[in-house]
Amino acid sequence: MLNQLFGSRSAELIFYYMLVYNKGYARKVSSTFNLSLNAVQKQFLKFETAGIFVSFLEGRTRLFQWNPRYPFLKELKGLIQKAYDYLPESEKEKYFMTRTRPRRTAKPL
Amino acid sequence: MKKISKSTSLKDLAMIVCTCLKQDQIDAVLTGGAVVSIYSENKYQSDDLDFITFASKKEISNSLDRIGFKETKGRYYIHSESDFIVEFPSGPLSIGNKPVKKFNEIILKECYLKLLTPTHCVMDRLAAYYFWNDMQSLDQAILVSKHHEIDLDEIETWSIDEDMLKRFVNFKLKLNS
Repeated sequence: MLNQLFGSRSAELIFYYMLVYNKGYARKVSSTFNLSLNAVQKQFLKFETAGIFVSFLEGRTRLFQWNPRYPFLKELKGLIQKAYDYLPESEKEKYFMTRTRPRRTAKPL
Repeated sequence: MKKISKSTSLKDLAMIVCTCLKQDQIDAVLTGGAVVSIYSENKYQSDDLDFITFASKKEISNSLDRIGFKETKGRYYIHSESDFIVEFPSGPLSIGNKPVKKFNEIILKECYLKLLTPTHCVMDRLAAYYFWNDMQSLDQAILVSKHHEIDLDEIETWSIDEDMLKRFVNFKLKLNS
């Protein structure tokens, strides 16, 4: 949908991921969408250079999140949200329904 | 124009770089910690110079090459005679989500520097305090505010727009203490 506007499919998918989960790291995104880790890492870095995301090191993992100081954040998220709304439900179920609420340590599954 | 050496101060280096860019018709504005250094007369010491410009990487590189700066793989520029690094973060120049239209200019002999006003420098530092709870940035905002006249009304209006009135009040309390 927006892959041509954003330059690549991985760019588009990263934006959807970040819209839903608000933060992410390359390995998780790459495994979620079955994308090349290298491609995802490069894309995250591009977005960070552009000022769209910022990153923090948590342990050995580089975690990316939206940069609240990005001047076009509201408009960009609006565009991504609209595109996300057009995604088929099957795609949303497949990629964006991961449990994100806490689960107590050692609670049996 | 002064020659760059190990003893070239951050302010002088900023002026040399900005003048060089201006000579090549590149409009660049100094932002970030270097502005705090200049306005606090080095009570806070920054190690890098962040300039915002719309010029292309190629234009910037060609210009800075004239005064001995080389681009590194990390997308910043270094000089063999200086420990400071020069970076060009992505624009646009904005405080919050409003474009910055007013700047300060320093002109000394043949050198020129375009930089954030003291008020916008304070807002830039406060943004880091507001969004990342960065206490160093709060201290820097207070430092600049104590050295220069700032428009507290503008800062308050912006803080309210950013939904950060509580943190602005905290800044004001610390400023007046």
